[in-house]
Amino acid sequence: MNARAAILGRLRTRLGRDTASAAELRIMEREVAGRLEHPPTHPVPARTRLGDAARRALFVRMAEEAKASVTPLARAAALPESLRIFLKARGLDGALHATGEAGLRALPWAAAGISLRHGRSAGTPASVALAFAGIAETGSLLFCAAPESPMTAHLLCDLHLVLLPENRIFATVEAALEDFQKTQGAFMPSAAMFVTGPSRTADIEQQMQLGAHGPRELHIYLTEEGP
Amino acid sequence: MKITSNAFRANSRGALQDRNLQDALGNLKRGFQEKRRKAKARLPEFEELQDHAVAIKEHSLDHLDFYLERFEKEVTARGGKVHWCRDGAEARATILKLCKDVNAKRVVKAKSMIAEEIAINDYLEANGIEPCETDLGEYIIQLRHEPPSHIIGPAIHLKREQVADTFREQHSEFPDARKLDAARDLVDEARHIMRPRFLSADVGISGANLLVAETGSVVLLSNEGNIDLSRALPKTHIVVASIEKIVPTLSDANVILRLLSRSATGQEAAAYMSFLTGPRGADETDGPEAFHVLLLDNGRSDLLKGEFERILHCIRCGACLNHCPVYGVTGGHAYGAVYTGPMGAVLTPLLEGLEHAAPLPEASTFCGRCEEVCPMRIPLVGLLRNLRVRLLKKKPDGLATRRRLGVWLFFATRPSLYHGVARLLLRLAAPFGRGGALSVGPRAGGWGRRFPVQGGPTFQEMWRQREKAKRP
Ligand code: SF4
Repeated sequence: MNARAAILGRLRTRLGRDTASAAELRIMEREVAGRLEHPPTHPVPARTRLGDAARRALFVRMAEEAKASVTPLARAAALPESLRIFLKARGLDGALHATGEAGLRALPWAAAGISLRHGRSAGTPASVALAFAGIAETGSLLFCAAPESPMTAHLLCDLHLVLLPENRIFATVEAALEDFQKTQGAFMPSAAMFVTGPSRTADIEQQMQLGAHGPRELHIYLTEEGP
Repeated sequence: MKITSNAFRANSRGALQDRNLQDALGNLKRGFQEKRRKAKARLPEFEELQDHAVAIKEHSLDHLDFYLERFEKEVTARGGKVHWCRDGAEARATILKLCKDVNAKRVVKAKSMIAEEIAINDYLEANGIEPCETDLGEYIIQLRHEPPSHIIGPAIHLKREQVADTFREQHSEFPDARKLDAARDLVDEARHIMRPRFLSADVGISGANLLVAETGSVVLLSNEGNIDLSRALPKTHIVVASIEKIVPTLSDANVILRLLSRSATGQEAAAYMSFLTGPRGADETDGPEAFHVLLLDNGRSDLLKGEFERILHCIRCGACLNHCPVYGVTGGHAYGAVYTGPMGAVLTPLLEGLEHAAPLPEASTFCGRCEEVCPMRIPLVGLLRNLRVRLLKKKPDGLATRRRLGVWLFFATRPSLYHGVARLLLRLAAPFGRGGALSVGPRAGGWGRRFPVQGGPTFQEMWRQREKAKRP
């Protein structure tokens, strides 16, 4: 017997499927299918049930608690200039690895003297990305894998710079995933990665150190007006 | 790993004398316990979420066959492949074959308890494939050829200086005189070593925190970013998950996830939480081209619908270890097994056989802190008690022991008789007490009481006198 049949067979015996009647099994199957369609409502933290302004404030507070910085920008078009100043202060030239969303590409990068590189990241010092969503409950960013949005762009650079339009802040992980499924037509991306602050480790004497294998810093630019 | 749980008593004596270990364990309280308490206090819905999480697990286990098949269907529909494995040997063989199929030389591994359970590293190495642990704690113990001592912090038993010594010994490419005093230096050195390994690995292997039947997604949490790098860079991603990790839907998963990070490290959220579904999509520039999920039974199905089913609710948060007074002084290695602390004391005998881990069910004071902090409300004390009952039934002198316990019980449940007899015996025994104390009791596995023998009044007598003196 192959392993699949053996394991499922053992499970079915333990669960009493072999003694159940065909009708009972059908009812059970219907129940499970029904639960998959309409899962029970689970509690969602009350602190996330907020109006727009309060939700934004919660996002900022939680992101900062996770050691990300949050910079408000009136318009997305102001991002390149803001990053020019940032890179200069860090002694970096004007090259950035970038995700390839049209909205991000269209910003006035050349005017700020910044050149963008796309595709799989090879680990330049800094990357800029457009987040799919922000999560107020935890201050997290959601990145969804797509041809223009490789995951390495969020993992290999020391400085992770992220543009997030305010109207993309959702209350919870559930709400953001639901939005993806509604707007993107696909049920799940190959990777949906929620990032909360820079990478970290407490494996040495339980002392938190930022910058483990992923980014050392996470800077979020929150725009009132999306790209 | 070859288990040495039967040496628990000797192991723990050694642990108590190990100064480094005792210092390292001192961090548990300041670290994990405090942080968990604060995180829980910040989520008023915590207990309500616990109720839901338990119900979700019960439902999932009751319909494990349905949900595993649905999971397989979804993974396959997304272009991934599911491999069913009855035991560790089948899982090891499957992983090796998948590695050989792509001519893998180097594998990057993200921390996984299941990978420890099936001891995949030694097996790959013996077959000419280099397994690189990427989680810092796991990397440190790989260098030291040690098993993990904690589910969440595999190297929690080590002090900074010990890690520095290990790095100096093994990282010969760096100058001897380099500074390695601070945790920062050690983290940076490991990061530097690991980067090229991520970039050159052929296969990434990870465990799974949860499997979602509805979407065929694998949920993984990490803080270091190593899991996502292990997935995004190599051409093949292999997930090893035990069958009880399944939940029906994304919304069910989120209930458990809200409890997990908070119970484990006291974080509101881990730095990285990924839902991985199938291989990379068309035109995506990174992510694995092949996505494999191993569904491992290895003894779980035998626990279903039995008196130990509740241990299958465990989400491996480590809270029971962090709050256990026994774990707190012995550390994890004394348990001589992959799973340690209270959950390990339950699971190890069940997976490995009670005869190979007989002392573990006894490695508890039954204080109950483990079940108090367990996010899944697993009745760990009750499960340990059930194991003790089994042990007793198995012992050759089980019947005699039970008789002695019966006599003990007769007196122990009649306090005035107990104290009267104890007083009398102690008076009579005063001349025989060795070292000022006398052991009395049913002699069941070290069970009994040591009475001080000094011929004076007993504690009870003194207490009564004191209380009488207080009265006007
Ligand atoms: S038994 Fe409970 S507390 Fe212990 S690791 Fe499992 S879920 Fe966490």
